[in-house]
Amino acid sequence: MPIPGRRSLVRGFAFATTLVLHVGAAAAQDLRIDVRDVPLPAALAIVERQAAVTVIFADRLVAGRRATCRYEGDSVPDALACVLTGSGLVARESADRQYVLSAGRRVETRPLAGFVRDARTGEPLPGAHVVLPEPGIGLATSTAGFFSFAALEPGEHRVRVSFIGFAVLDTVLVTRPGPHFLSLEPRAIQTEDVIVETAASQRADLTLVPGLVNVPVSRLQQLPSSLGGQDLLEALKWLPGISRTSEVTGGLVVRGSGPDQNLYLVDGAPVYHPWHAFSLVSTFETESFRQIRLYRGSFPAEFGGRLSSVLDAELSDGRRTEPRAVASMSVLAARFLVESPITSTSSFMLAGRRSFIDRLIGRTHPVSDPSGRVDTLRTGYFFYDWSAKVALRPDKDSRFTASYYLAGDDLDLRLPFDLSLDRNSWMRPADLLFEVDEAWRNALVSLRFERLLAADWFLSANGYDVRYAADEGAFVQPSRTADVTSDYSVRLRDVGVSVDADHYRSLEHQLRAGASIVRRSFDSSVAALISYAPGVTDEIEQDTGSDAFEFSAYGQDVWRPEPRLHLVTGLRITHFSGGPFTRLSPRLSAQYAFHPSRLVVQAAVSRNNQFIHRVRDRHSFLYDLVSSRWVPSSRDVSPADGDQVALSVESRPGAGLEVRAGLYARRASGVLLPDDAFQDKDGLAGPGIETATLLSQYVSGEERSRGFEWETTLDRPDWLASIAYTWSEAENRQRDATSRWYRSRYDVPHALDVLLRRKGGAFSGSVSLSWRSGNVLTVPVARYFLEDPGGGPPTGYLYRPDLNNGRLPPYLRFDVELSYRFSGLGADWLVRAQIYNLFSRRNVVSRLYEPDELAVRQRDRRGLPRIPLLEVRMEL
Amino acid sequence: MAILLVATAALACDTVQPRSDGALVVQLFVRPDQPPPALRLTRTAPFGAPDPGVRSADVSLWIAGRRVRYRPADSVGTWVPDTPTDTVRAGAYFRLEVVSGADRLEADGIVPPAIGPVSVDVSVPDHAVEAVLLDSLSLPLDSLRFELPSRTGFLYPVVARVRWNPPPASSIPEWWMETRLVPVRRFSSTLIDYFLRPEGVLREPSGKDGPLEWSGVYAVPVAAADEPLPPHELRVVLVRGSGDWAAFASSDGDPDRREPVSNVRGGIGIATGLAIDTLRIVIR
Repeated sequence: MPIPGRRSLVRGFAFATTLVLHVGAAAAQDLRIDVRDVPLPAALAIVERQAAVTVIFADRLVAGRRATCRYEGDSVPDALACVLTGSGLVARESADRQYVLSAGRRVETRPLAGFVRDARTGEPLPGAHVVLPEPGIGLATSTAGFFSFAALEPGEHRVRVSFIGFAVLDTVLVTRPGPHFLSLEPRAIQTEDVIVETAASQRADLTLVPGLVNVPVSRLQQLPSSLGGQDLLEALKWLPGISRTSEVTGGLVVRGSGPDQNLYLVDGAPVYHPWHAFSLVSTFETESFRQIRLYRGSFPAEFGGRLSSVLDAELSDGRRTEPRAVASMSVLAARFLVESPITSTSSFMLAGRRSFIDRLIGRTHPVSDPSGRVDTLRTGYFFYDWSAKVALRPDKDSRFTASYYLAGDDLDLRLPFDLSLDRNSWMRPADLLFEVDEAWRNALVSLRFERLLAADWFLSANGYDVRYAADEGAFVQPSRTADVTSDYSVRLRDVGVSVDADHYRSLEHQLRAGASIVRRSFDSSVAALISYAPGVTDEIEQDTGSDAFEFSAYGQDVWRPEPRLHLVTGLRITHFSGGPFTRLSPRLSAQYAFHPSRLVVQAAVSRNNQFIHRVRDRHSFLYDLVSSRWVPSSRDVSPADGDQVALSVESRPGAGLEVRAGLYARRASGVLLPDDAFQDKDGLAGPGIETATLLSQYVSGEERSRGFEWETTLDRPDWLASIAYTWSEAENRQRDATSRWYRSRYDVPHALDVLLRRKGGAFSGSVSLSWRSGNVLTVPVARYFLEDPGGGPPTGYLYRPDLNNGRLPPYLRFDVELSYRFSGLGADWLVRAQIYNLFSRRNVVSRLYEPDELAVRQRDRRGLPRIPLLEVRMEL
Repeated sequence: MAILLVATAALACDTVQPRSDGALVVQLFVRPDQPPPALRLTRTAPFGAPDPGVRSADVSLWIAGRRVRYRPADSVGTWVPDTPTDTVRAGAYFRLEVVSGADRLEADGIVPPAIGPVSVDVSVPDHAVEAVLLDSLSLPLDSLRFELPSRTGFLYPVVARVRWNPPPASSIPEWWMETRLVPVRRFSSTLIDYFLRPEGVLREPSGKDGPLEWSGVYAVPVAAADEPLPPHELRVVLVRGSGDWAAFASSDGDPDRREPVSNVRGGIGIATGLAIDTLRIVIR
């Protein structure tokens, strides 16, 4: 599949514009109406067919009316006037190729707006589907749970509201300037509630761009995590096109792009390192969020700053109805969540988690030896996260939230080198030892204010302060005369404000615009002293720092020229002070519902930019060992620019059955690739942490990927089955004329995930299969010898002409999980047992090559074996 | 199940079968005040196969505008100048061109100035020091097999302080010096290796007053703390070259994992100008 460049992108927009103009011109065709005493709807249908227009009307207006008309000409209004003669009705053009019938007087419209909430918690429900069965118009609620039909005939209107996991609400609302408040009652997941809708716009209202995952957290909670517990990012792995960089660790890889191209937002604020335990588990506990939206590849104009994906997560406001408390303990961590109303207009949520292995084995260990010497060994490691949110609603039109999020890891070791499972053999004072003191922290404060200015205007303002800090300290003494002391730190801070406004201009147009400004600060320092022998030392002491402002503004129009078609056009402009650089990012997506449930087609083309790059030193073990550095674009390094096209098809052919398939292609330039792909950390003293030094280890490059994603979900009241398959290709090349494309390290051509889950009742459980192509590796194909000009023996080298020319064996794993729910001691309990890698298949996760005289031997590193896991959860 | 079978077939098709291209490998070191040297010309070979020397090629070396033709010597893979020529002077520009079948290989460089007098001071502690010879952090590749070996022992850290004169100031680009300590008995341990410094690659500031200095460290293991340092021979090697040589010398230390950075266009290997000095010292 060809991937469009910049010129192709422009051509694509030009084609789309031409197409729209052409369709508009088609309305000016000759009309011949000749009806006699036929039902009025039938006569209107003739006009619709001949003029290629849509006529919207309430059934009660035309019921029982008949039409007689003879017309020849090219005026649609005249033709409609002819058909409506004597009916007392008039036709008004409400949008291009769209007419609305009303009583024969001056048309007066009123708005119908409101908020949709969860009846159990009182929290807003973003993404809920609000439909007016007559005249068949629908839309999805915003992140604030808000909806607005801007121009309706005054009076009562039937409204249907639905959301997966909630009972459908049918009600009648009256147009009025103020908002309505609708509450949906939760119920067991039964997708019949949704699919019974008959509005032609059903699918077209909900996900307007291909690749968007917009599901309630309650559904994500059903998806198992590899190592148990509740993990939002782990749950996303069940979606096609998403994987981890390693077996159970590493960042998310979305459609073959690097983890640094994903934007993680918590209440509108970016999180730079959402991982614990060396990326074993994410910092996002599923249960503390009320909604997530994941944009794979194509995202609306309101988002920017990354090339690949956006995860927009919203912390729970806390229940407004009654208090709730949850406590849970698994093999990895213990956690709790408390949420409650404070007053009738406020609520809070507080959640925390902490690992406890340090509590089991102890953080400090006083030791002594027979000579009376004493020491204190340390074996401290834990991770933790806190999230808290307070929501205030000073009046019915306003909402104010304050969110706090803190996630970190703390590693504190002081140990001898002769560790073994025999603890008594090394629990003593030691002269030769190592100390490691490392900590990583993400902290953010986010304030958000939302206000309904009018029934058709909604304003949201957000301010945040985000800090990421990593400290890596070490002392290593392997002999009495050699040691190293190092202290490395990385600081990153974002302070930003943003304003977004939604204007529900008409039934056909929904406008959204916004602006943001953020100040990004990057600082790091290293101080290290390496003593090789008495009098032979290396000393490193460096500080770096830089600041940059990023200003963005965007505008977006969601246009529905007719009920089956949505067009979303947007433009984002970003100015980054580092260069300075200014970039325009056009976004265009279209969606057409051939059938409300059986066939919805989406397409999108977009351009994204990324102004910060993640790099790490590739030489020294003393710094950048765990944490990496973010570097702003500057005169030394340009922003990365990416183009994406995507096409998807969705269908719900039966009760609970959903099928999605999609194609995508993406290409990016200005991404940083290692200058020397074979360079790996190999010593203590490296070239340093100066930004220019780090950047010199990289070259500007290009990446491209394409793929096919297929997902089928069968969600029944008692069980859930899901199959997700991905075919993809991902390649890189250094940006010079002679370089060739080679497979990206994230290239995984085939991935298949199958989940079968039994739910409901006291016992529930799941079996799952994960199967994918092995990771790429560089295989030596020959050998050669070079002599030493200094007189040493010749050295044999393994010849590796092509990077990533081979692949590890396929990866396969089965997991099982069994849960039991019961009530006791005044609480609801859940006991969950899980077996990771049921058959203990020893998957190959990496491979080294070691030559001898006659051949090259392979040394494989195997993945995790069978691991039993247990979690106990209690809810009050 | 059908999906599984299709995916299986596709997965099988995806497996890459690496192939060998049999690339040309060249090695040439042009040294100051010596005639044009012999060069090595071979190809990459399958594992276990003998070194396949190239005997059919058109090999020319231009030095200071004069062409020196090469012919194969008796030794496999060795090529020597066809006719005797004058010695090469420091600062001379040279260009190598090899045509073998469809392969064309080129490299160029400048001959560095010779290394002047070199002095070496060696210092050894009075007693051997305790050190971790095998640490339990060097986990086996299969990290879940908790084989946690560890062993401590004793060694002498030997410090060699090497001094030499910087290259004279000139318009030639900067020079680099590779310094090596090569004891007769090499010692290596995963952890201790990080704290030894048997090699270095340093940029030489030209025209600097006074000698340049580099200190290296190597280790000599002994059986007990009170065991004296075993007498042994130390070879100190200094190699001066251009940035091409520095890149090569900085990347040639892990032959199983990576290839050294080559300056040869159309092939692999190294063809550069070098000045070499070697000292042998007996440490008692």
